[in-house]
Parts: sequence; structure tokens; C-alpha cells
Amino acid sequence: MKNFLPFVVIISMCGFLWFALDKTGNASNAQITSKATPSFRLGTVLDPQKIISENDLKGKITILNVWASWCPACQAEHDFWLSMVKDPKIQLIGLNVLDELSEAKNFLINLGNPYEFTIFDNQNKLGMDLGVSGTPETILLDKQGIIRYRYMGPMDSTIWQEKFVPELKKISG
Amino acid sequence: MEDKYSLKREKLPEIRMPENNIASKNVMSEDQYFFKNIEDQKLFNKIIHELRCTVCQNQSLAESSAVFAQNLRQVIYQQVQEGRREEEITCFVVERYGEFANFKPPFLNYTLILWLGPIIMLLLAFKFFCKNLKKN
Repeated sequence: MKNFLPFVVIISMCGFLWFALDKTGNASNAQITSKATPSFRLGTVLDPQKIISENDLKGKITILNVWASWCPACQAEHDFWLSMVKDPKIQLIGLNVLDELSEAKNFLINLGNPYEFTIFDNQNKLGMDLGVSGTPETILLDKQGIIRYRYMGPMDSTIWQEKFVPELKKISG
Repeated sequence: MEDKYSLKREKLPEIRMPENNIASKNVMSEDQYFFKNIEDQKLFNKIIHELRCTVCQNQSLAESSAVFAQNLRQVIYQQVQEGRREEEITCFVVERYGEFANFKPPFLNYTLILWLGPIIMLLLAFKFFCKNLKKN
């Protein structure tokens, strides 16, 4: 039994380390969830004079898709958003970050506009307050504007079905 | 003698290509920061070396050329210029990006093993070493 003691100790240590690293090491889980949308006042890409605030992200379930025109992965996922079947209970909102207004406009004009509106955040102030660390990223907000889920990386139908549909069921049920 | 308000230039890293599929627009020129005094410059340097670039693989904010890292460096620079303390700035980043953003994990219940693990391992190794030494 004594001979096994070092192995037992090492295996237990590895277990604890795994647990501790798992708690701190996952970026998307570590970022803010279950928090209210921070307050903001920003224009939209297609109409910079139209001011949007956190109240516009309440009342309906919101899918907030963070993108930029310079991001190839955002172009890759754009077809998915265009093909998404519209649901009156869900609003798809864009959040354009760290971009030029003209480039962002051209992106929507040339590739199509699946969003109800796209918030223009060239300073990434709202993006940073939401904990956005890259594009594309998709954030799910409930009717009260509370962040319920987030996914970093390009969206496709598999990820949508596997990750978002169960979360949507949870918050709409 | 150096004037208190003379400008000190802090150069940041050269351009590197993104390493993962999360888009990271590259910084096409080196960031340049100007500081009121050497303490601010040191504080800025310390913070950007202790925080992680959340979009890159194991790079600090100082090392990363990703546009999001550049944006966060700019915010940290502004906060340093405003006279904010190190803890306040770190807290600002951790509140938004989680403990993942901090290279130095806090001393909490779930990180106890990270802090104490190496010491326990060292003590155990020392104990076995002494035991084997006696045997021989």
C-alpha cells in the first residue's frame, strides 16, 4: 500500500489542478454571463443619428452578433444569419466593433442585412463592457436584457442547434 | 535632469499573424504611448505584461498584435493617465473578461491547490529523498 501512496498523491494533485484550471481557464465561460446589459447610447451603422440604448435590447429574446467588416470569419458566418428563419419572439441585432462606418455599411449592402439594426461601436466601448474579446461572437440575451449565453467563433447550423437551441428553450420556457 | 512632464515613448511589439480562427485584425504600425512620468510608464508595462490577450494563445497583452489587444492596451493607457491604481485597472479588466484574463490567479478556494500544490509536491519529494537516503 505504501508503494502506491506517491501515485495516489500525484493523481489527486492532477485532479485538483484539472478542476482549478477548468474553473479559470475557459475564456468564454469566464466572461460575463447572468449580468444585465451595460447601459450605452450608440448610433446604428445604417443610421448613425438613430440612438440605440440598452432598453432596445429588452422585451424580446435578443441574439446579439458581434462582427466587423475586416473579419473573414464574420463573412464566413454571414450566410448563416441570412438564412436564419425569422421568429417574431426573437430579434437578431448586430454589434459592429472597431470598424470604419463606410466599411461596415458596405459589408451590409454587399453581403445582405439580416439584422433588425446594427449598433455601431467603433471604440469597442459596449463590446468591452460585454466582455467581447474577438469577432465573431454571439451573445444570447433574455427578455430582461440579461446575458444568458455566449459563443466565440463563427456560427453555423450545427453550433446553433447544439449550443443555442437548448439555451433558447430554457429561457423561453 | 529630466523634466517631470517630458514625454517618454513606450514601444510595443512588432506585427504577428493571428493564430486562431477568431479574427484578430493586425496592428499595422507599432503602438506608441507617451507618459507624464516614469512611474506611469512602469505601471502600464507591469499591467500589460500581467494580463492575458483573451483572443490569442497564451500571449500577454504586451505581446499581442491583435486589434482587440491594442484596443484594451489603449484603454489601460488612458486609465493610467487618469491616475487609476493597478488594482482598479486589473479589476476593470477581470470584471469584463473574467479571471482568465489575469496571468496571476487570485488566492481563492478553488485556486488554493494552484498556489499550495508546488509546495506540497516539494515537501513530499523532500520526504522521499530523505527516506531513500537513509535506506542507502
